[in-house]
Amino acid sequence: MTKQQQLDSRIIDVIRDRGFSELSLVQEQAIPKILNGDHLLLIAPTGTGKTESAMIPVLSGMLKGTGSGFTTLYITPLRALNRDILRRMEWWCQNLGLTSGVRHGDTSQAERRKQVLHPPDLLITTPETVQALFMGKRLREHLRGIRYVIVDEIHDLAGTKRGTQLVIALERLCRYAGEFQRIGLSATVGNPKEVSEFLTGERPCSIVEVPVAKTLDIHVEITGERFESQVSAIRKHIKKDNSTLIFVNTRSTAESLGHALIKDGNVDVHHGSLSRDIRIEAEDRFKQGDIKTLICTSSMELGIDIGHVEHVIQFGSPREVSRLVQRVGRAGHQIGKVSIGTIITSGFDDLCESLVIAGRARQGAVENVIPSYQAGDVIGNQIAAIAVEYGEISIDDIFSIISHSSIGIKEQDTLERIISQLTEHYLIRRDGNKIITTSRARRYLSGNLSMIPDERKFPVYDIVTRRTVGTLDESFIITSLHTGAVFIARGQLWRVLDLEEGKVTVEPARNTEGELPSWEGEQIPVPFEIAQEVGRLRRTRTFKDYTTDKAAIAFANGFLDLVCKNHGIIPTDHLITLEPSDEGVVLNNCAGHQTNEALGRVISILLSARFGTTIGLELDAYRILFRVPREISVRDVRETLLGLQPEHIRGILELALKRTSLFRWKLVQIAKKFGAIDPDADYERLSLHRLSDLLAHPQIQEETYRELFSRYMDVSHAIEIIRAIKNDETEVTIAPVSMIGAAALFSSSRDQIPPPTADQAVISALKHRLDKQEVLLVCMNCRKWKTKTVVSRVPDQPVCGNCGARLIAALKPYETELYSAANKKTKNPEEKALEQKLFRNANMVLSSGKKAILILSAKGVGPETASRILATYTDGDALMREILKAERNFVKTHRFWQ
Amino acid sequence: MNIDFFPSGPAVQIEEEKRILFIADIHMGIEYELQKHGFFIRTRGQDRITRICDLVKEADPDILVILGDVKHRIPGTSYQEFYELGNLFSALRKIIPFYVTPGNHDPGIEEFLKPEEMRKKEGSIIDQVGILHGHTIPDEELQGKLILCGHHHPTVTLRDQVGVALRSPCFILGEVDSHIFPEEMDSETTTLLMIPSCNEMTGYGIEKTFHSPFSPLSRSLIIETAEVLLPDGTYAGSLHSHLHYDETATT
Repeated sequence: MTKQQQLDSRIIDVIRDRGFSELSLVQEQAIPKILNGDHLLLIAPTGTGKTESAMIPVLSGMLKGTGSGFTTLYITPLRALNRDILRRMEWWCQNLGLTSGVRHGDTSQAERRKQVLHPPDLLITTPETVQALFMGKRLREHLRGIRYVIVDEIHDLAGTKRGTQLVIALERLCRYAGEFQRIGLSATVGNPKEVSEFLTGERPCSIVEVPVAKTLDIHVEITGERFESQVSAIRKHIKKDNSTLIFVNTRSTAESLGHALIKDGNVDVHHGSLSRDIRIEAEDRFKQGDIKTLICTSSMELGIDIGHVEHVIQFGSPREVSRLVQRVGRAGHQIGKVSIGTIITSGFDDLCESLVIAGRARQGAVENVIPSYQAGDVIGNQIAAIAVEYGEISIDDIFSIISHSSIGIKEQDTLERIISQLTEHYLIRRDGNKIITTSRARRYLSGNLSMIPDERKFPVYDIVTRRTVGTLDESFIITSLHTGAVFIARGQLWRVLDLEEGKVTVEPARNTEGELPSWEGEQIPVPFEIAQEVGRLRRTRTFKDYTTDKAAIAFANGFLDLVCKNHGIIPTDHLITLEPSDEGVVLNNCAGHQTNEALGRVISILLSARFGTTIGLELDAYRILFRVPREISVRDVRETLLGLQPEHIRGILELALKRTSLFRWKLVQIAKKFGAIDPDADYERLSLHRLSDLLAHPQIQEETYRELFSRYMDVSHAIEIIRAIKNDETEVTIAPVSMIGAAALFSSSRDQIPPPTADQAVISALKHRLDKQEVLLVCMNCRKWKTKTVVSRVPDQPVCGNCGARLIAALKPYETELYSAANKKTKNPEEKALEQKLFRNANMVLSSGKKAILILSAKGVGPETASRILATYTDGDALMREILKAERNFVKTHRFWQ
Repeated sequence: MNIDFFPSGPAVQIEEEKRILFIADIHMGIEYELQKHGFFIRTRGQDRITRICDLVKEADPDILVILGDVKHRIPGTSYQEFYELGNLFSALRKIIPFYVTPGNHDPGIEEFLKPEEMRKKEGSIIDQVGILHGHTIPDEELQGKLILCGHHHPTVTLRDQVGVALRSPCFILGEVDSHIFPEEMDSETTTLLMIPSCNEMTGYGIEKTFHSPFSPLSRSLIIETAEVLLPDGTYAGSLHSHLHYDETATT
């Protein structure tokens, strides 16, 4: 082995002791490059000896001499992973006479102090703790000797703001340690070059990639919608295998599946809501073979070593190819072994999506990881951190640090704008070309070491039963709640009475109109390409190309046949269908969550502007539900969709997003990272609906838009869809309600788009009030008929229930006496005048029907004002404006104030 | 009696013998206090002063009445208040005679005012209209009058068929139960107008206020008689309909 000869002889001995007879493919390719001093991105499936590939040559280099501080930083995204890496590295280090240690949020004070006095040669840590290393004076000194930085699971960090923060921190590190060698360890990604640049910036970076696709053997099964049959399908598998990992998409599924399987014995559950001890215990028991099956969420996706896994079951669609590859890659955890995975699917969407994702996984078509370029809040956070680190520093120096990383800013102007923003929040002071730290900055930093948005939970307290009925997320409270709001929790309606002292006080609410806010949190979006391929599969029915499972093919064909038999139209990649339903209008579009988000929002914004009403919006990867009032028809939605101009989409969204709860939620998160709001800010102090106005700083807004458009809304694919409609490549048709449109999966994302102006909101409220207004209808012909009703129930042309005449006067509900007075046989002059007034009223109803009744039921509007309004010949919103004007005039009269 | 509404305050102007413009709850210095609660935003004090001066020029009253809570910090006066209150009053003195009825946030306000600009906090009469901030039991002499008060920051939620469409400051007008006065007199009914906050950052839902009333006046308002008005005087329905939205809704 010639390659090994470059390794230090001591490490070759240790490798022999460890019992490695030969190097794996990954190791053979990676080790020489690292020994050569290259920056390296190493891409290989989990369990192929990635960590050792990087660490053997690094340890060899460390043997050439270590200084008084740290020599190597090993950074992973998870504390659990840190512990695992330490377990594996301790052995190597001990045998080589090196020291190792872990430092992260769980590390004890005593351990931390020890590390300050005697820094280990190899420090295993998280990106957030790297931030903390710069804050202590003595720790900073220990950074000077660093020669290697390994970033593990870099695919998981590169797409997030944590990653952005980390690569800026690496540039900060260069100011102490000079240039050091950077090694990134990654699972398969679609864009290795971009990820390598993320790691090293403009420095050249080698890439070693071991393909994953050949080693995957994935099956897709259909079990049907019933939970019991899903459980029994799983049971069949886990009986056969010696060790099975079952991945589910949500914690609650993990719990219910665990509940169903736990009585079988040999099963345990592992997810993020469980305490650390319980999780570690489950990992250990699985590793030692005490349990055969472990049910887990994405908590087990990253490379924590849990020993041999024979079979991976994915419960429901994995939604992304990379996720499936990662998860199934956990099986056959030995070099050269095939990973066996099974996706258990429950319904049509789930099945088709899984077939497409499995097909793509076999081809190795994994998604790209897109770094957060030029994220303003991260850069702001790092400027504040640098100021604390140095006390005072020149703006040129800051620019040089930040612009060196690949994701930083390239123009000094942007930096200046972010600096002036930070100054406003008292995080830094500016003195000419220098910035100086403030007393607030250190406190801000200790609360904002992490770029992960933190969510506080607020208890919901029922004032009637005097008990806590659940908790709500901060995001939900900020975006949707205020006193008086009604929401759903635990399947019940609640009205908010109070938002104080960190809790939400509620009372049970009765029925209410329309859709209620309920926040489901962020879900894993299905990418555009996958949703489109699902649409193609619906159109071509080439299920055989994707699977050999006869039951799955029969289910899919049977489902489509049934839709057709019921006169439904199947939406595909070339066909968008619009279905009217009791709930509103469903737009079926196979375009993925983010594209549907962009399209759904543009359409609802236009509808709410045109009709002056709030539009409820819910969507998933294949459909958008617009919850609309009855006056908006499926044709209106179609017209709006067809009328969209591709070049207007982005502009419409930018203008209108500001009013949405999604925008407000993101704005608050980003404002926190900018230091405008403390992590534990007391929201009761401020009227929440004003919050977004107060945070309307250009930098905060710009970053909010950047994040929304890069993470939540896929504008470019939405434009592609609209272009395809204009070019007749995609057809749009109205169809009856189908099983596809009616799929009850409407819980992935909800928002409400309010009408654009206060004027429209006021008109809506007026319409609502008038509709509910009680009115007394009396017959002026037979004089023997009166009825009390509400305006919304009045027919267009009311007739007398007794004589059938149309001479009906509309009185206020409390004016019964007027009718009796006018009907007296002998009348005094006053009563005669009254009778004349009622006649005038009835004549108006005779000629204008319900419209007259509507006007007469407004506040303080009598026959004279009503006839003046009728004479304007207005309708719709214009009529409502006339009524509002009349009521305003009445309000100014003396009569109103009595 | 002539009545005019000015949404930019929000403010109301009543003309009897004189034209009097009423605003309430300016809360100068709120930004400084917000810092203690985790919000770090620059002061908008000067914007507020400009807005109030523009409002006075637009309404062109004979007198301006500020119904209390001109400052925000209790107790004491922050540096921001010290600076901005001086600016506010000197700007106003140049254009209009004014009165202040001190509110619960106003201890120490007398340092900034001339004695003749101060009114009794329990309430007083100006041009037949009763004025007070609204955190105290109103003075006897206000019985049977139209009373104007601040303190409550009333805000209304307008809904349409699908959801919440607008949150807006609002006026509340209604009758006051005469039990509020220590000695009931056989007088005309007492009417109350609650004025919304002139500070753009504050607002308090009327559902909350009247579910758990926190002042003598909010406890004594007879809800069945009360109406809700938007800042421009638009009628927004009865208070009862806003407090019992469920019952009026149909499904």
